[in-house]
Amino acid sequence: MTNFIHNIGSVSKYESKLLLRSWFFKIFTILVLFILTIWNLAIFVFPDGGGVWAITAIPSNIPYLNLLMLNMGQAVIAIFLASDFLKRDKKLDTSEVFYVRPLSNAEYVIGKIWGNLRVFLVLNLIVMGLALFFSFIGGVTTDWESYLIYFFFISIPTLIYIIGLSIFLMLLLGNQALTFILLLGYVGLSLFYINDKFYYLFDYMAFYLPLMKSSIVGFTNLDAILTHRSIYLFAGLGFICITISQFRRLPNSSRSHYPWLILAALLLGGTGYSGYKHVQNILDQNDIRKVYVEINNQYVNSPKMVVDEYQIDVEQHPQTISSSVTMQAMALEESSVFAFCLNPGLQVKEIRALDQSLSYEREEQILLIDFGRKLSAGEKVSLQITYEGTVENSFCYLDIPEEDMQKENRTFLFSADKKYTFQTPTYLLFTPESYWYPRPGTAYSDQDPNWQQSYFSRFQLRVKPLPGLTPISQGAGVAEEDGSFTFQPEYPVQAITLLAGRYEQKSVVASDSIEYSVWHLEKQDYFVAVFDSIRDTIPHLLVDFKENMERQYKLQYPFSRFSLIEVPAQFSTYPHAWSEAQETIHPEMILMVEKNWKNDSFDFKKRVDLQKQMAKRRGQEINDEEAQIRTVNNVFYSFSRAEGTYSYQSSGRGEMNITSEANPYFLFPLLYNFRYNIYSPEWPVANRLVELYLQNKTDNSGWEREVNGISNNEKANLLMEKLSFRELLADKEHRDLMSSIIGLKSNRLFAPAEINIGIATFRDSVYAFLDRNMFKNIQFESMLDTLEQISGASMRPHIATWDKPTALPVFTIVPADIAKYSHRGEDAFVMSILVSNNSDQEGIIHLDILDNSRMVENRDPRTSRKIWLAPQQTKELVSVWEDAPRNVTIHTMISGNLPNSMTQPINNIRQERGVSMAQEGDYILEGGIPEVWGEVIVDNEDSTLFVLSEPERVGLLTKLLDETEETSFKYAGVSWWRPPYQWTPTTNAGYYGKYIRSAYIIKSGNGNQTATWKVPVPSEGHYELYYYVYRDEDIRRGRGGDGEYHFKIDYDGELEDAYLNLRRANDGWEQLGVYYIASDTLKVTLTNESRLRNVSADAVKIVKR
Amino acid sequence: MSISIKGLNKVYPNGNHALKDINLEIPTGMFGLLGPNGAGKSTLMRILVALMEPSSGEVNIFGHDLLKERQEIRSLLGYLPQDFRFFAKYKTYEFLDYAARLSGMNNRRKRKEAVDAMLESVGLFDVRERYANKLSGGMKRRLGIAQALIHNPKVIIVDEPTTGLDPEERIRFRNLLTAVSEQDVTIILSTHIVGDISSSCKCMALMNKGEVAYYGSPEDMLKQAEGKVWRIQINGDQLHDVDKKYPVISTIPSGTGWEVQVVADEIKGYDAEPFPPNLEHAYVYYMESKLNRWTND
Repeated sequence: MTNFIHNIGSVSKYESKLLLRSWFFKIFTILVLFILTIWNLAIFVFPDGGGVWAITAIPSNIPYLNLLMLNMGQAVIAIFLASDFLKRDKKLDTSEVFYVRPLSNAEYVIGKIWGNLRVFLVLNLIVMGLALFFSFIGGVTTDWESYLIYFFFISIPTLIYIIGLSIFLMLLLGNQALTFILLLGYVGLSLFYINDKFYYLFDYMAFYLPLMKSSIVGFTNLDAILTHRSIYLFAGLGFICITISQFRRLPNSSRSHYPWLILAALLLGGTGYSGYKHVQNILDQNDIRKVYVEINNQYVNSPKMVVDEYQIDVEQHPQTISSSVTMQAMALEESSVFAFCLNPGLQVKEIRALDQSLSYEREEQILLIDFGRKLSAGEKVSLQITYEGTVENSFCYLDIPEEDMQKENRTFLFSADKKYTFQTPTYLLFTPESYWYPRPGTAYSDQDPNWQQSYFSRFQLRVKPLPGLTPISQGAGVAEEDGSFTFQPEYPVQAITLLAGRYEQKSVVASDSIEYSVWHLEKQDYFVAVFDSIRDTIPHLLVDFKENMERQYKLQYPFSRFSLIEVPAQFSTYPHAWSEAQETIHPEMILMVEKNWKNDSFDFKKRVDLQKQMAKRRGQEINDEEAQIRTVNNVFYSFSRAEGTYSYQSSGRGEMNITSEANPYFLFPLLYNFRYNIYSPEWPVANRLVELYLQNKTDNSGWEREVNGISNNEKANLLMEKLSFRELLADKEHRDLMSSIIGLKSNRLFAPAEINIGIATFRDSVYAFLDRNMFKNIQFESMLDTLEQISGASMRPHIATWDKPTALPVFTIVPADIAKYSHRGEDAFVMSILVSNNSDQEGIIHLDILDNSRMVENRDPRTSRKIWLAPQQTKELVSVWEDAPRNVTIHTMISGNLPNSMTQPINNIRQERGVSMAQEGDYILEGGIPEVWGEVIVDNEDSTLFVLSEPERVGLLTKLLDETEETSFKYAGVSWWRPPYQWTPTTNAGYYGKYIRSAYIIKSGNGNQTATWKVPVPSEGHYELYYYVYRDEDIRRGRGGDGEYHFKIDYDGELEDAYLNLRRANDGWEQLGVYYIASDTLKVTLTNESRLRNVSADAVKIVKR
Repeated sequence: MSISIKGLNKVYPNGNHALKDINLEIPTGMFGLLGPNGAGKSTLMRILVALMEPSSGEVNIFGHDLLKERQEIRSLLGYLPQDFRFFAKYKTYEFLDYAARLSGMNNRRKRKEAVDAMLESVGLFDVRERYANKLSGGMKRRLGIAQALIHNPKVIIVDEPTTGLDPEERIRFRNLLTAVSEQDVTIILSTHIVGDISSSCKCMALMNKGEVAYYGSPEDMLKQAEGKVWRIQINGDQLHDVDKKYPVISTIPSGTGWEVQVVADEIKGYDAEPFPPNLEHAYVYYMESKLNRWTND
């Protein structure tokens, strides 16, 4: 054994020497250390006010990040160097003299590998030292433990695996170049393509594997991490053993390779087993979730109760909780057995009613309680359930599809596990999603919406946490002498939340008598020092913010407390289809992940600096106080946005897509969802319909639409044409469009009432109705009845159409014409808009006029109104204004129009004199919109008269890399800086189109690609030829010089060239020339030959002279 | 006998029968293995140092079976391969230290002393800090022998050690080997240069086409060539004829003509006088008369 170690030591010593002397390694090391030093300097020493908050928010992320970065480069270098020693031995004739020494093959190979490995390990230690040094300088707390952990989780398995694999491949292939290229391809593939696919199975570098360590609860997926890392550790060791057994030197004894082969088989077996276990654990979770849903389906229609009052008494133990819940419940129908639902990890001990033990059955989460006698509908009983156990995390979010659950929880390079409940000896978090106390009925069923019933109940909670922990729940916590706390919210809630941890409270009672608190975990009060000088201002800022939100949504904040509570970094939520409220928001509280690590605006110190810098750039000088106030207001902003993070995707060359996720911290639910409860057994989406109607969200018609080429509302419209509302609600594939679909439907539902009494009036009556029913359970159908009575409009019959796909109306809109009339020194502006419904379906449009009134309140009701159009009906909308309106926006709501909203700035005002002024009103025009004589337009939407050339062949590699994903939507967003190689359709209000304002876009080229319009010529004569110009961002920015479009005009057997200078052209119809045409067709061909970056094919027009 | 080889055969995968039924007994002291290029000397050497497996046959080195007890045999051996030019990036003393470590010299201090002494004795002490790759050809060869000797092996196998060395280095190298052979070791010296063998080998073998053509002492081989070496005085026109008829060993210009040394049983048509043979003559005679292998081409 001493010889074994001595020989390995000898070989490794000299192998390390070689590695340290190789230029390749020296350059790599210098480069790595240089980059990481600069990087760390930028983070800790010279912060420019920006930076990624996640790095410093969670101290363990510092070694995590540094080691991830190092390992990326290390993997490539290790491949080269490890495969090098076999090659070197072959090449250098002097190495034979070492082969004839008495050491064994194992000693030699292990020595070589250890020699390489230990140099890399030292490099890892240096990098960690660097990270440690800089984090000291930066004043960031150090998570010592994490340095060691990440070294073992990231570096060791990765290095052993990649070194083992490369020497094994080198032995197999005998060619270093081939080995290197193959492995480089493998690294690239796993890093850039496979990444988190297949449950991270192929992520040998742990680049995507959730590895983030919370400062509060540490790792939540330690088992999964260890299993995953052992896959690669075993594989690396296995490959090394194979290499030893197959090493090309006669072994010391003829059978000495057998033990290594057996060991290799065992280790590779271990790899297989770990891999299997890793995947199986995830699949098992998915399977059990299916089982839970199945069971819910089975019991969804079992008799139910409602609970008026809960008395929950819960005690925390190191691994479990024990609890006793007393409920005052009422039977909703006549039965002796009623269904309840409780997290399947919690075992029921006993159920009692009036000193009598009740029999019950339990199937996973379902609890069927037998009262021993028939209870009549409406009969009230008191019952007590005692249970204990550990809450099962996988029971949460049964409605969320597997793919969404598997999606990584990643910010920058940090990937965190996703947890929905926490139960450790030092920390507890149970949200209603976990069913930590029994609730009537079942949890999510994918077959019957009847599962979903939420009622307001009164709660009384007594918690006895483990010593040192402070519990938080709804209501003020009152500490008792025995170490327990009682909570009794003053208002009824649908469900209650429980947290316990080493919490500290910072609170203030503001002028609105609300107690605002921040509950942070110990040592996490980094924010206190930053805002020291505005300590007294903060309450005012809070009240201002709250009142602003109340004004915006015309809803009151109903609670007497508002708490921002810190929860572990891994806490995750998903939006439910039926509510805006995610599990981050609960009555009177917001659960915010550790220092809100994903949100850079919570890096307060840097943000304050940034505010000062920004002010300086604008020529202002602001003091600390002002900078702090601006920072706080920015933070508040992240609670008032409906959209959270944006993510870009590119589905193919030049095609763009941007999606936004719902903001989990959007405070709207505090104003609405926990106050009002609109339910309908038939349409569980009822609450969401009203919620979205009140939010009055505008569609993403701005920059997001510009990028995507189509908005979410437009996508929703196109889907509604294919599927019924009911089907769409169950459609998991289009969950991301759910709020658009529901929003459009709710706007359509209430439109008749809005048309009858005006939008603002109707909204006011909805608010009034809600206020009368605060903290009550409101039946959706009876709410509609009331609103019908108020408005005199019929709405309920429309619901019947929700079971059928929606036939989409299409509208033609003639831009507004505005004329100024002056009479006796007074001016009047008459605006006339022509709208035609060109379909056989009725339709509604929304007209939005921006007038000069500054007042948001008491706006002229004419500025926002809805107009109904019968099938094939044309209306002229005439309105008279004292001041000229600034712009007009027409939303076509549920329709086939693309884009479905168009804004027209008013700038060409005609001066009319002596003509009698038109009267205000909506006039029906018979015969539709008059056509212009002698004008023929051919648009790119014309399938017979518009033809595109065949796509050019592209190289295999380009094709592979730019593989286009099939999407169900025809139109795509096009990036103007990286346009597509093939004609790609996109829409934009700037393009021409009768209903669909679209064009085809292609990257400029040699003229091989063409678009051709075949314009029918009505009769022989002189014609002016026009092309419809939309100057995109690229042209506006002045790239490509005087870029021209090159046309070929083919008529009467002649072929003429025509050029259009896009830089000098105006948006709209631009003349290409005048032609005398005798034949019946004029062919206009646009080629992709241009100095501009891209060419777009839209519409041509001929006008007879 | 320190090494005994019985019925040794080596057939390469390409069908080349490199060693044919070799039987040899090698005593202690210096043993010369002579033969032209491609005779199978290096193959035999590589088998002896356990770098290559024989196709059949037995080899016994100091009582150890080469096929079964490689570790023991490897600890007895020192080896200097035929090609010894390209080094990894090691300094001269490091190379030697590495070799010493791998031969089981675990004591750090003793190893250092041994390395220094060895560097001294091969005359490389002054260049010990120089990278081995930067040494001259002769120095590299000396480093080669140093690493083969560093652990005091009982068997030293040197394959074509003097090829490519200048005469001075060659003599130096021979002397070095001779000095070593005076200790109680077995040195197998494989060479195609007859001069390497003559002085110090008590026993030798001549290999040809994978077989042992001669086994015995150099003196016996010399005896067989006695009276077969002739000196002829000829003019320039005759040179061509002589060259065609007899194996010519040397041609020296003398006065108006040439003095030519040839090997032959008898000389006809020329005025020839017998000449006392050396080992080179004996080698040529042996190759010519016994094996009919000699050509002047």
